[in-house]
Amino acid sequence: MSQLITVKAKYRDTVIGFNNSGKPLGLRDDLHLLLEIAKASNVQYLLDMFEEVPSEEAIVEEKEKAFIEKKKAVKKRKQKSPPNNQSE
Amino acid sequence: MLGVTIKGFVQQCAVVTGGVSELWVGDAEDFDFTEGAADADGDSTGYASVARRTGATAGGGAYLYPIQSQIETLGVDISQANADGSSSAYEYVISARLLQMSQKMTNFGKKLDAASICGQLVWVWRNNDGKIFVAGEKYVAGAKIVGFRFRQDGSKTQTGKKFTDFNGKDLSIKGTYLREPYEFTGGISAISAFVADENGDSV
Repeated sequence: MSQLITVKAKYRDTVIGFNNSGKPLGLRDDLHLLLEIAKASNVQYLLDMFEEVPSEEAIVEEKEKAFIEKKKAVKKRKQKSPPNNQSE
Repeated sequence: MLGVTIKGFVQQCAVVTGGVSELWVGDAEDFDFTEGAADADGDSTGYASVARRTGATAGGGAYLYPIQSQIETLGVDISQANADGSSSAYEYVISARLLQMSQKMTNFGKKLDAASICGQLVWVWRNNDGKIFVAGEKYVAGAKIVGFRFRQDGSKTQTGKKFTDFNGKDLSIKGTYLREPYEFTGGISAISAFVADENGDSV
């Protein structure tokens, strides 16, 4: 996820704490959330870290993709381990 | 609402837990906090992210440092006053109980005293209910906010007189501001990335 939203190479090692993580930006798959924060408060130095600021529609699309991927992963996990009360 | 914008206070449907679990202090010059998107009413939702400011580096010691305190002795009290009908003033008292009088304790006190004159300290704490709060921050969204300064005031260090007496320091940090503290909603792992021990090693 977040192929659409990337940071400039020089900021990949930068640490920003958000969304319950302090991993360097180059390792984050939730950059769309940082972009939302930056846009909400219009923080220029944060906005400048991104390669390019995608449109609102693109961010929404990214969020939807992440949501669907998350749902698929949950479904897959559930299929692998049937509930304890299953009789068969 | 024709006159003022007011909404009631809705309590959270959760067990109420008191006390502070952890307390950290850092150089307010080193950190920049950014608010998250406002809620549906346009009200603040607190700080959603924290970053080191340009020039502040881990190598240079730009960390939040834990203040270890005797169990169940960390606390934050905030008293509001508005005697003249102007702005409210919120008087903060951050307290902790530091064990065993030592040179380290003296050094810590000296640093706090010096920092209150030549700098500004940011205080971050996590309540026992998991909520994280920030006080003394200097930069928000890249801009300097109105002065939010703390100083050591009212601390008491004692040896005690017998074996069972307390030996150490009741730390008292005081400051006054225009409002209560903002909550940091970015989560504990986001804060932990900026926490180090006194040697500057990540913890």
